[in-house]
Amino acid sequence: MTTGYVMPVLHAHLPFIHHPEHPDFLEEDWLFEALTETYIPLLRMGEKLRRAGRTHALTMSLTPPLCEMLANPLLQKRYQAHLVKLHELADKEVARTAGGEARVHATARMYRRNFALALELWRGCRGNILRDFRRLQDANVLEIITCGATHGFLPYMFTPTAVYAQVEIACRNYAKHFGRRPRGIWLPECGYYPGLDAVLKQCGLRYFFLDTHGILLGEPRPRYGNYAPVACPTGVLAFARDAESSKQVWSAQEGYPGDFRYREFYRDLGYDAPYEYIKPYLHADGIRRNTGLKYHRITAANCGLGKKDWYDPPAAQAATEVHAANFMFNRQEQARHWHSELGIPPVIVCLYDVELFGHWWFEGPLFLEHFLTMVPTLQKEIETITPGEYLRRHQRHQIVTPSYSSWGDKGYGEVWLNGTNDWLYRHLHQAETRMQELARRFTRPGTVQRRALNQAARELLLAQASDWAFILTNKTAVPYAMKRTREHVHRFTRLYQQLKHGVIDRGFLADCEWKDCLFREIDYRVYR
Amino acid sequence: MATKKKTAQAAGPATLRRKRAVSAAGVKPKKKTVKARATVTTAAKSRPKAVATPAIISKTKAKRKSKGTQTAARPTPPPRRGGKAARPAATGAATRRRTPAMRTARVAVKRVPARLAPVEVPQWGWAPPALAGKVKASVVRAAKKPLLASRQRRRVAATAVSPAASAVATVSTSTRRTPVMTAARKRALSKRAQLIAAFARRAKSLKLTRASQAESLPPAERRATAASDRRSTPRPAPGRRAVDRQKARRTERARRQSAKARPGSAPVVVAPPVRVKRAKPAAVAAPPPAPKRKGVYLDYGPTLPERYHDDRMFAMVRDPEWVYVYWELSDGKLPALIRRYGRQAVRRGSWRLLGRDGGSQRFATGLVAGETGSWYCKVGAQMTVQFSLVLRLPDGRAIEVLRSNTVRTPRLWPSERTDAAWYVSEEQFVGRYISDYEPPYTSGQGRSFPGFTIPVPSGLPGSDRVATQPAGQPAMVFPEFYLPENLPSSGTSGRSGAGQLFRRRNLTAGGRAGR
Repeated sequence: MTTGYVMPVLHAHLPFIHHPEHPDFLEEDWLFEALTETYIPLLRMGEKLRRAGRTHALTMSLTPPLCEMLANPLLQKRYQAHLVKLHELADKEVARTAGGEARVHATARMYRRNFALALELWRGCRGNILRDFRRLQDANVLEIITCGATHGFLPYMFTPTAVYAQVEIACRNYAKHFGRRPRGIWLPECGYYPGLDAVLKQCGLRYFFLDTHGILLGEPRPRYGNYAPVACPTGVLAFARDAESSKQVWSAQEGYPGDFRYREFYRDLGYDAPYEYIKPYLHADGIRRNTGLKYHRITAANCGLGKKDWYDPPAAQAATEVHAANFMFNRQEQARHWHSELGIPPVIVCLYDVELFGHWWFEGPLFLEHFLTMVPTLQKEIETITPGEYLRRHQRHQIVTPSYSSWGDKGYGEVWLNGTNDWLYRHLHQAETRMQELARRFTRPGTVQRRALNQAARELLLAQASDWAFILTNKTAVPYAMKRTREHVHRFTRLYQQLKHGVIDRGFLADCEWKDCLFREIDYRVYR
Repeated sequence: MATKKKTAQAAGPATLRRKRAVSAAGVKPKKKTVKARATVTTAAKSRPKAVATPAIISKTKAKRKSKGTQTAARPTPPPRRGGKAARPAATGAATRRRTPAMRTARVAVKRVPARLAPVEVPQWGWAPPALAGKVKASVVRAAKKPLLASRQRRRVAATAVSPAASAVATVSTSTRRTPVMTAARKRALSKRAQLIAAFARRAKSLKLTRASQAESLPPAERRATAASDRRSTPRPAPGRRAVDRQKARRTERARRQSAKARPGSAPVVVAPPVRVKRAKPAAVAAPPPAPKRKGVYLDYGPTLPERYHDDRMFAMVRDPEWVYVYWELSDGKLPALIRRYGRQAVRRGSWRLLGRDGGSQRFATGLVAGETGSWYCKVGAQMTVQFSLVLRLPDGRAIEVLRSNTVRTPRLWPSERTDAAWYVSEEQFVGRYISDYEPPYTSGQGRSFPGFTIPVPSGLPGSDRVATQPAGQPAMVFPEFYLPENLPSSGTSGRSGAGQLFRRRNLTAGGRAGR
């Protein structure tokens, strides 16, 4: 008998980074690293689950900018070149480490095998891994949901029209890539404000996800807390994150990824190898950076990078199995407790950033694979479920208005609104107003005007991405975030003025279309 | 010590007035101008009225120096670029004799009629249009006095600090009569021609730059950009020598005053003039300046406009206690206020941010910047708030200039409401879900479960008003607004407004101040 459900939800998002004007661009590595270390291993895992006949195993959000990048021919071509180079480096490493320390050589061989498999999968799907994700969804292994069009933080939009545009454009983009409209949405940064559900309803969405306090502080008090979804006044369902299961995986200190046997992220061959040896695998600027080949493990708490021990792949793989079993055991206990307390099978919603699995926590995909394999085979108390399947089985829900919340630090909007980034919103709000003005004014545009209007909408959407405000807060790639925001606002403003004055610079328009080439299907009238 | 304090206090407001006069008119303070004129009149009475332009004056001075006519008391200036090196200054009364060179220079001084032709003062620089006449008059008045004491001549030169202003003034007056073309006159003219040409080039390049930047803007924004450019063009800083002279003069004046006040006593230390900065906008829309790194080029993208010249005020909820508000006035808003209430009233009025909740409580911040700005306001959880930008006139009237959207801050504790069909008691709910849950946000006021006790630490606003909130009823405490310095976390402070502690204002409905 099922006493509870576990709903693992992975959020895959990267900002749209596409620079055809440069032959080699550093920030494109974000996509390449995520592909090699996360998306492709997850696909391989999904394929194994499909072959094993598993269904409703996992929910995954693929944001529209990420889908657009994965489907972009230029980025596909560049990634293939990147992967070939990595494979070449791994080959060299296998030769270099042969005869030396056995663990190092085993690690080198592991990398070579991983890159070879990735290359094989990549070539097999001709560079478009979205098709593979779609196939997994069609086989009910995976449920793919959408997100905001460019991951804009919805509570800080100026007008409801802009919120609607973010959601509707995302739904249309999802339909383009996956052949049908989405059923659920991952709200960007889980940012919800009362009234947002009306927009989701308008776009045909049936559920979304919130952080725990979004539902616990809802109105009226939710009887089942965060262990059952609640229906918003419009009927759209909200699932809330389970804090305990999140902490077990997220926390670097208490969580599984901090185990000493796991691979150390911050010590990389890019810094350890002799410069002349590693130079061909660095960017054109020749600055040492991460290559993805790491030979050390975490070793101990507060251990300096120089004192790290060699990574031992079999030991780390054994650890993932133990941790997956422990995770399953804890969920069983949790489900048993809440089932007895509430009288219903609780749903334990585990929300994670997908880059945690593979990129930050190298063994993460293996852990997930073990967990998803163990759950149906080793016990009968809990089962994994997807939101769509849950809604099919359970139709009665309490009506609650969730509270304004996000999953950022401190639970609200401080990450995206503070002294480092509050200057953004004046420009974004002005651009929103102007876009609506254009959409109302141009009822029957000519071909060039239509192109300019659609491009203006793209520029606005790109400027609204929450990533820029996030980066400004965390001070990681500040110049790039500032440049991107300013550029998009600037391009939008130029297009706005050109449209307003009836003189469109076709060269400029073509340049914008070339660089910011996402959402080919966009229709500016969504801003009316 | 007491004397020092007194002097500093006495000097403060006067300095402030002078500073304002300088910043408003772009000329030296009126007081000083009057003093200079008073000194000059006696000398001018015995001599024919003539105009010596700063260029001519400096030429004459150079000539005198080159002939050794400088008095010992005056410091020897360094050699001029392209000119002869100044010789060591001669001493004695003989130096006061007129030299042939001086006479030549006097010939070059041109007479002008009592009524002067209108002098054009360029409007692109630091002189606001409304005060251009004063600049013109001061330039001309100074130029009328050919034999000023050197100190006053320097002041005159400083008054017409812009080479453009002096050049234009010279051109306008010199067209009245053709002077005798002596060698000195020719040199003076060539010098003037150089100045005029330099000014013309500078003005043209400025216009071109501005035009190229503004060509993509619509006409209204173009005009506004030009206006803001005019306002923001910095006044040229005085040179090192001028600063040294000013310091020396100040010290000398202080010494004299102290000697006069207490003969025989120790000189009084005079505090330097108090520099009072005018309130800056609370925030500008432009991003903060990018940090510079040596040898590394970092591309931060194109610059964005600081404002869009719209009337807009928007409030955004940051968390259960803080709301961020930004605002901007359109170009026509201030002139409309000035037309209605008078320029002085608007200038002397103070801008305040007023918040009101759903009920009747209204609270105001300290001073904020007027035309564009932003503010973080601490309003408390579960409040429905709307903000207004209010101009408080000197006579006490409060004019609501802008009004924001209405926002509601989220709750900090679970709802008091429960659903009959989905009943869960308060104890059950807290015991099940809240007792082990670590909330991501903790209130600064320490609200806690269960029983909805709201212990407010003493010293915080509201501590005298709230003790325990009865269960089942939301707390309606509306703490007063905080200054940005009191923000709890780093990196989130509001931009600088005027930094004095706010006071609660009893403002009645309709934006009028109650007394």
